[in-house]
Amino acid sequence: MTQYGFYIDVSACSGCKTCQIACKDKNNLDLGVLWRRVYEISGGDWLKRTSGAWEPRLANYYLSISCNHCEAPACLPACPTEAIFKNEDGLVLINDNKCIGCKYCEWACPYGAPQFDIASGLMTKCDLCYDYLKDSKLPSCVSSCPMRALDFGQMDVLQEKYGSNRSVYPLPRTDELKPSLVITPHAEAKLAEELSAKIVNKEETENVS
Amino acid sequence: MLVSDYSLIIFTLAIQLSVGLIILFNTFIYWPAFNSRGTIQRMLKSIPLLALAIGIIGVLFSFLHLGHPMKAFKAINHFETSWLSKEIIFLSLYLGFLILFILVTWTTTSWKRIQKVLLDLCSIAGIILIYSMSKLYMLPAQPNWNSVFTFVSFYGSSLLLASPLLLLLITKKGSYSSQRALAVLNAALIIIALILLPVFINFLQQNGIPGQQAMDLLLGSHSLIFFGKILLQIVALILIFRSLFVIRSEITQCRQLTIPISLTFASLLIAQYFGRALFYALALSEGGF
Repeated sequence: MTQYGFYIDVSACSGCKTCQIACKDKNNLDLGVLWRRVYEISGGDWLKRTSGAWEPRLANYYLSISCNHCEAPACLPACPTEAIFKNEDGLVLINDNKCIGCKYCEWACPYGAPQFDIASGLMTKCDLCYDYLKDSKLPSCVSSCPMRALDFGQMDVLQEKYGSNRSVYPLPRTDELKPSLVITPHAEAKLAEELSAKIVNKEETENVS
Repeated sequence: MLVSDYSLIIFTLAIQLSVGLIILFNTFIYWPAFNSRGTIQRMLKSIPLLALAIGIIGVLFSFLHLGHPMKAFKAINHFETSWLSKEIIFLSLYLGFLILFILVTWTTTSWKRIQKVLLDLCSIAGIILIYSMSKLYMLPAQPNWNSVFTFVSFYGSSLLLASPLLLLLITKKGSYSSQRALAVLNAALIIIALILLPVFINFLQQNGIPGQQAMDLLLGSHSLIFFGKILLQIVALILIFRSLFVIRSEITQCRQLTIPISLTFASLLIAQYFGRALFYALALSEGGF
């Protein structure tokens, strides 16, 4: 089976949120629903040097995340109606006819990918612009990124091109889910972990519907 | 979270109360001292009916949580892997056995063995239902829920709410010893809940970033609900101790018990509502996504 995935160059992302808007526009998402979200990771403290001077330590960067179309997604076995399935291209999709809008997949996914759409009463999520994929076009988030921080393709091709790292702080360590991601971490990612840096734009990215 | 999840709060509490009522009733009904005034048949008819009514209220509220309530029957489709499917199946079994029991009890008085079997099956389905309900929330993506405390909370709520309610229902009909046993059980459960609170706080403090965020919520924006819950549990404990003082002999006056036990139940019901609201507010994933 083919497995498509995303590449995210966290070191190149400027946090402009164009990908977020492009996704929202292409998929005509309702207020509150964000299939792709740009998180602002921020943390810092002061380090006392031997000379007595205080040195600031700061970690700030952006992380653009949508559904990672995991090889073993947590949402799939949790779904009580078998509405969530993996297709032949490895995409994790929702069958609207089966979905009852119970929101259980939202709790099961550690990345906050499935989101409830109050207008349709259904769970919705990134479908990797499957219609574009069939027309050999890039997903809207990837093609819109002005920093070229996002890429898309078959996982083996992405791994060959960018390496095999799938994680960056503060993404949860979910090796067993095998997220279809390749990530170039930001230079401050390790410091951010050391400083327990937090997502500082939580309200902005939360689905309040 | 606190407002939008009211339907799940009422659903889980109602089902747990209903199951707790049946389990305690099934335990006490065969206790020789339970029905000293010979009113077993009346209790067999009324208490399971109340448990069914509470269960149905819970089910109706669960529909409010769904985007498409009319398709709710599809929720049983993924029994092999989804705890939500298992919950719905065991809920159906529990209510099914309960309805059968009520039908048998209301139509005949001679099928005592069948009555016992049905009440046992209903209790077993109820116990598995609470287990499924707990497992449903014990997700790796939700570290604050993914612990034994979810089991403790759900089974605890079940007995904590059912014991004062059953006590209230038997103030007229039950014996001195069964009233006393239920009051002691309720007091013991409240004390256990209060003792476990610092243990749970310690668990949250050790639970990484989600645990820290949960602590910030409990002591910050949700502190009124958090401390309100503790205060109500203490009030309930004082009231149940007062009732224990009143239940001293067979000549206990019904009126002396009704008011404090009603207040105990009301305090615990509100406390459990607050507690369940906090439970849903603690749905904080590892990275905060």
